[in-house]
Amino acid sequence: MEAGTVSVVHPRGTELLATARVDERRIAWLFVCTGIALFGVMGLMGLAMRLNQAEVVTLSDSWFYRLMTLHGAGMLVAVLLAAMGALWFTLRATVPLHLGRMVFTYLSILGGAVLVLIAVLIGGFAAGWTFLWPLPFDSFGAWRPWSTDVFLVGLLLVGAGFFVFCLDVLMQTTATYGGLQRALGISYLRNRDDSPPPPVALAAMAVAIEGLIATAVGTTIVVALIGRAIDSGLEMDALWAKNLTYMFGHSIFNLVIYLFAGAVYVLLPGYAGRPWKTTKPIVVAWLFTIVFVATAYGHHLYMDFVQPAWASGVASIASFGAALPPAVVTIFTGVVLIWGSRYRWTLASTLLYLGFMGWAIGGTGAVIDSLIPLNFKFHNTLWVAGHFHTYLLMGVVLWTFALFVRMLEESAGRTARDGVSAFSLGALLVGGYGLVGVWYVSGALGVPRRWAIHPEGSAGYSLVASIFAIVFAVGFLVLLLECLRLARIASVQRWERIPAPRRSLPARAAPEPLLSTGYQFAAVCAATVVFVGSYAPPITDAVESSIRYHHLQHAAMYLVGLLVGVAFASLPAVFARIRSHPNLGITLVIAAPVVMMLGMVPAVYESLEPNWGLHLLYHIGMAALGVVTGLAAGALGLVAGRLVFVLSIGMALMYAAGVTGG
Amino acid sequence: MAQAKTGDALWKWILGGIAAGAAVLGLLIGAYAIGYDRGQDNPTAVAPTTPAPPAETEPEATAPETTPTETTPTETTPPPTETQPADTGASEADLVARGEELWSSTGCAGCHSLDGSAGVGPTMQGLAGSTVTLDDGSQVAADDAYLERAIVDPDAQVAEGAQAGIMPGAVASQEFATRPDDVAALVAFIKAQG
Repeated sequence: MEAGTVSVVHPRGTELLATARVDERRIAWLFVCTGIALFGVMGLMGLAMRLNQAEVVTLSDSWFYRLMTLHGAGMLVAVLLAAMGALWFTLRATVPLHLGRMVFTYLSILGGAVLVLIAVLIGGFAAGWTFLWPLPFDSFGAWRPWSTDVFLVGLLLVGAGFFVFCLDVLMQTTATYGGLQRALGISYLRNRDDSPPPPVALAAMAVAIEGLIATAVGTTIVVALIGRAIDSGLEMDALWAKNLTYMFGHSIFNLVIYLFAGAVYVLLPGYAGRPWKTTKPIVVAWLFTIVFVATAYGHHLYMDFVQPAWASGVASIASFGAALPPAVVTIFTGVVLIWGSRYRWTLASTLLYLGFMGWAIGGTGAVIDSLIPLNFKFHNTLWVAGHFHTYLLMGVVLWTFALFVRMLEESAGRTARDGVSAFSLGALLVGGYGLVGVWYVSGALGVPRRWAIHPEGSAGYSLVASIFAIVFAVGFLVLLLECLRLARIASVQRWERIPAPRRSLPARAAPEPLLSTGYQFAAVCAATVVFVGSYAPPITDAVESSIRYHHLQHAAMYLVGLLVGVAFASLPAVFARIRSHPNLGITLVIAAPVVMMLGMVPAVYESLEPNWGLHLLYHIGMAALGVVTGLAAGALGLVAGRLVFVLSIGMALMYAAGVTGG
Repeated sequence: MAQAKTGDALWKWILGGIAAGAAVLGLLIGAYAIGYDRGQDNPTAVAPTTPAPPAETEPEATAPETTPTETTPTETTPPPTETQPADTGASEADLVARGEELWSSTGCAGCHSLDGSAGVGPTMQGLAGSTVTLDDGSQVAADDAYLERAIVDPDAQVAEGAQAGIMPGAVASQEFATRPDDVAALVAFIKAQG
């Protein structure tokens, strides 16, 4: 690792990397720097919790659980921001992602993070970032009731930001590569396409599809909980609530890795001097991820006796199917790419390489935890904390540092100094693996997770872990100081450098309507007429027997509107008008389903029921919200619009299934 | 594939679809009308858990048929009476065994102990036949009707020291109101605890 003004990448690497545009650099700086700043603050909170368990400092139980809640939610935002910034920065060379939507994503997520901070620090919210029902509403005075509402709205904003990001990635990637099958590489698999999308696009598609599903599920449970804040009598099925919560939470944390894995497909070749080509195993691996990620969360519920056994079986298979293929294929092909390439070892490229190690070791810990017999032993212990900290801290966070350093090295035109790099890397490795290693050991011994006070005799483990955490923090600090030096050099050189030629954004195809054939129109119209039957008076009377049936009827009414909206949006004359308003479409496909579910809070509609006119108007309103959603989905184009259609009706059905009283 | 290239062609498909949908809806309405008519001819054939009939029917005519006792927890879901186990032919031992199985599979033990130890909810030891003080200070006998109601509609009568709102959410997915035999089995198991 020679410091100097020579190229910071492989001699042939510059040919493989597109020159980043100014807006791309700014977005990357914004997301990565915010992510690293949040990581630093949340890391200090984590250290405080570990020192408390080591009995070195004393936190009240109330503050411990507040910090635990903030640490979880804050770290999610930190790594999510950094990983989204990384993927956007690297994907935009081939896919014309929308700048304004990315800025909205940032502001929405940051706004959500501020609300979470207010809820925890001022309101004292301490139910954990997983907000499992009914704990957020049964604090027994431990936190103020309003803090639960603020926390949930904060989560909703974070979800909205991620939803917009995923929607934009899906819309632009499918438009660039000519449809869903080509963008997923399926056409290439079937030998119908000689030029498959690059691996970064495959990873982006997997993240976008799964991200939209996870966010729709998360929005459903969060809106149901907000409904509970509006109507104190609202009850929901606890098992349903836990399934939805973990389907959202587990998927989001998984997707963080895949977001960054996509970026690594672009960053690593610059140091190896070889392109990372799409191969059939890579395509298959990401298809596996798309199929299985949504159901892999079930390993969090193996010990819930009321969870059906078949669901645990599916989760066990899905945990392997989602995690192993992309990790094995990516790490294997990445190492092969490096082997014999005269890899350019710099601080940034070494961090990229070490990130693979964190992904592999943390993934192995996850696979062990997803085996049902072992899960019963490990899942409620620090083993789980060990595994997810391994792939986040020693995987995603190291990759974030890598991108940060690489951008600075590139701006400064020189690499970080050898000695400083070696010291920083050594401290990060020793501190990081020491920290997570103690979690594995104490977890295997049965020390529980999420406890402020650990069993007697286990404080020593926490003390050792705290020392390792401090070593990691020293490595992080040294890395930051070296980055500061590179930033100063870059700042001086900024005025002397000849600006790079402007790169235009890649072209993409025009959007297509949701329905394009006569058969499709006929099928949608027929379904609409059939579901109009849900307005029949006997059905309205019959569904009064159960709140679930009642909400199912509302969902059917919403579906009527949705189908009408989709058909209307697909009419050539209408589509020609709405296709130029995708941002309005995105806004409405988020807002309308949320309003629809809030409208199903019993306190909202119960007062209308005695008056048949108002009751009828309410039912028409449900369909009207469906029409708005359908029209808005039409503005998003074929692939994104159809997925939004399915997710919208899915949200209505999920809500109807889970809310059991009010 | 029939491409909808012109407005005229498209409208034909749309009208065709609407007609097909109307035909399916018409069949559904016809099926409902036949079923409704038969139900009117033979009102006792209506299952106890059938939702309330449409407004134009006479609910008072069927209500006595579907409301067997005054201790019914909900109007639409009568609880099992004490004669039901004998009617189904199940012996008391079978019923208790079934209740024990349900006790484990539905997670009752998560909140209620069988040995008198404290839990989130009251212990089942010695509960049956005792006098229970409710959260409003009144007292009720823990007879079969009380135990059935406590399972089907837990917040109808909350015991002193217990918290309202926890059990309804916990057992909602079990839908005990539609499973009178299982409720009877659970009651038998609770009574067997002394």
